[in-house]
Amino acid sequence: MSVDTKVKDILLEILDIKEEDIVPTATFIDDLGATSIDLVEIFTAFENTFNVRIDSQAGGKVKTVQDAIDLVQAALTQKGAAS
Amino acid sequence: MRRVVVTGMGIVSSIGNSQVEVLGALREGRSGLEFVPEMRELNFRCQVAGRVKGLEPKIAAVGKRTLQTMSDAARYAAAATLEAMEEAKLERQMLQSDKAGVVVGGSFGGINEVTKAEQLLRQHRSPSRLGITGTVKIMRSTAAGNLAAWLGVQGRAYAICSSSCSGTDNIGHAYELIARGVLDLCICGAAEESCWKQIGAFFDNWRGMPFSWNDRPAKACRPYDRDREGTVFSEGAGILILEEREHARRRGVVPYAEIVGYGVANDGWHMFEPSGEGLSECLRQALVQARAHGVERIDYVNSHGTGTKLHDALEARVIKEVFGPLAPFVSSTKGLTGHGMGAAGAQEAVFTLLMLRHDFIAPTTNLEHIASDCEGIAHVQQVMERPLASVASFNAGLGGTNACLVFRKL
Repeated sequence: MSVDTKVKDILLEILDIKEEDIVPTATFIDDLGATSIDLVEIFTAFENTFNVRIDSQAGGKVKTVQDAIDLVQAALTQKGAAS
Repeated sequence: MRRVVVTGMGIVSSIGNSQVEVLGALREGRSGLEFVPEMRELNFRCQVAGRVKGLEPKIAAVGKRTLQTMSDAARYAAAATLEAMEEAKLERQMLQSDKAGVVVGGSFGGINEVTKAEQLLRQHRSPSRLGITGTVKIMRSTAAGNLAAWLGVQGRAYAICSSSCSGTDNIGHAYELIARGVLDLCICGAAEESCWKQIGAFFDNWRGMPFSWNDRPAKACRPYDRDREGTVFSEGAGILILEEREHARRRGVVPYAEIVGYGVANDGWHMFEPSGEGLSECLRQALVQARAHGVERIDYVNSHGTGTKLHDALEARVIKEVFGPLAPFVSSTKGLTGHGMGAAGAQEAVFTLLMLRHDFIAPTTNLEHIASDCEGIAHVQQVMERPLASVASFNAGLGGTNACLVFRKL
């Protein structure tokens, strides 16, 4: 399963949204209605699903779905480089 | 003291997740106990538990945003509350008042979230793997807090924790708050999620759980029976909507029962072994209060009856002593459902009220040979159809807790 698909599944699990709401440019707060609790839960789910460490500063810069996918990809790349 | 009536109730249990399902199970003797393979894998002597099944559609109705902060215990309470509110024709805005309350407790809160949190922490050595919501999922008041936040309740909202009396005591406390005029309306009861992995382990060591019936799980919990070996862990929630009588009348809701007695007493003796004194006292208190409401006789008692050697015998002795010649019929529903732990008293209040409403008495399932130390009380061993006017439900818990509720039909 691709990173995109897993990220989408996580967002569907945590947020009160429909699949068609999840487009790359959708913003978490304004478009997807995410609260501050949702955001922490989402990043926690990223860490647990992909077994990576998400840097909290980098996480704070995430605004859109594409930003989140890019962040996870970067974390996976970093993990691969470290191992 | 004002009069307090029951206008709605909801149930989540191993024998069903609605009044209709539970009524059928009680009448037909459909057990909620099952063999649990994971108990065998973890080398428990007892490999039987009662589990909630098929609740997903009802849980979904609560709403994803609300469910985010709920562990199973709070989810069970929420599902039961939905059923109770529907029966009581209670709309959300009626709860948004400081005269409405939530008194819903249990023994262990979101105990499985505790286990999960520590496992994740030790595995990954990083708190970031745990998220945020565990705090409110775990706390013992998780059900009360979540219900209050979800429904907008602005009166008292908290949890009473008194071991296996938690359900009874939460209902009893809500009754007292309404009778005294602190509240007009209260969602009350208790919820408990599966805790055999954590608490059941200690019971298994204490030899408080049956071990000879793993191949016949429906037979495992045998209150008052000669071959009883202990209690079976279960889970779920029981919720009552209690109202001041005139408050219900003004809303145009017809209540079907009234609480006429609530007795509570501790043994003041031992953390594990009951003395019988607290149970005797709490039954007497409840009966005195019931008499003051004009209830001279109790037709049926739903006992605590866990299926443990010591406790069952002690209960039978105390029931005999307290009721004497006015002996009511007695049964324990735990033979069918298992022991709902902190939720048991609230679930059993629902079962007892169903029997009151529908004029029948569910038997003590698996009571095939009455133990010699449990004789002398009017055990019900088959379903009994008979008119009921007043009923009682009592529980006793670790730490010497004892509590009894008396209801009369309206």
